[in-house]
Amino acid sequence: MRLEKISKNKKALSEIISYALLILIAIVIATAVFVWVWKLVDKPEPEKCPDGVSVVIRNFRCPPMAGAAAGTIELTLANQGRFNISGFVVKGSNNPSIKAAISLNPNDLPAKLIKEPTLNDLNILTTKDLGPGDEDSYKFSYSMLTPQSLSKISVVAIRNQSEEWIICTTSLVGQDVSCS
Amino acid sequence: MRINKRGLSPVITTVLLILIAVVLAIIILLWARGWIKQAITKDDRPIENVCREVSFEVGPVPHAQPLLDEIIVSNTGNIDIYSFSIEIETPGKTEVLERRAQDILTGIEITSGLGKGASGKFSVDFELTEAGKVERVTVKPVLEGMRGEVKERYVCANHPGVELEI
Repeated sequence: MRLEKISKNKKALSEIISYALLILIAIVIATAVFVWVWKLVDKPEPEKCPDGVSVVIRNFRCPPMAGAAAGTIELTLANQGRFNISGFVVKGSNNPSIKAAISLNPNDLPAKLIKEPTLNDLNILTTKDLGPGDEDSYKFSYSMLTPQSLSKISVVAIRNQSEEWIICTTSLVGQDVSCS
Repeated sequence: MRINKRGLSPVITTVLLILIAVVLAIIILLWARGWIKQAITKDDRPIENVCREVSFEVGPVPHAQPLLDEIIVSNTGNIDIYSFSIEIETPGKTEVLERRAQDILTGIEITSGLGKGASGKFSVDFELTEAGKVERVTVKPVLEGMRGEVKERYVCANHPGVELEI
């Protein structure tokens, strides 16, 4: 009789509480592992320029040009891709055997392109983007080159994606010119 | 026979065991962190992955001398390049140099690194490396990342590099 009483009075956690405790511990451990592993997982890649961005140098003109200072080249650039273009990186060289690497300054009045304040080599369109199939002429100064002549130019398109300027590396085009 | 024997319930023992295991794991983790190097990251991504996205061009500046000593570099991608690692291969030997880009017009070192779209130049004295025996020159990018809170440079060994036309 006494034995029966003791065994019936034995106190312990109920099965429900024990399961709840185990589940709680499992969730806490899982959360901790997730937070730890999350730091090791590679974050999504930043915005990339889409395939199909293409720019071509349709034409170029060197001085003398009406209303243009000496040391200016006028480029007619056409968007031959499937996406809008927000600007260009335009570089030049006065030596035909050296890569075009010196940034040319946009020189239109009124300005069609302005230099990006923090990324000086990027020239951004002041009005609307150049749409697919569109073309326009832009003047650039190469007066910083000594001697003041131009033998090579290169142009690459820029796009604005998610509030960031993206260089479209695959759109890079070059052209031999002869301006002096 | 002792019928009144009291002890911990199975649930409490399980909880205790889990707790002990977790505490031990944390202690081992904290102890191991001291001698396991933290990875270098750039923009919250492993720097090795960022390296694969670097795009740049190199070209020599021909001089009257037979050896090229000035190299033009252009960052044609969207990742800032801190400096450049130049691997100069001569028979039986590879010498590795590191150069930071200078402004092409002024020659002043670009301390902020070569940003997107930017160009620069650097000099390599090939006279030092057995003139005339240079077989191959490969330029690889060096990026600046973060190891924890500390800035650290990282040579992109997994980048194929750009071979300089000699």
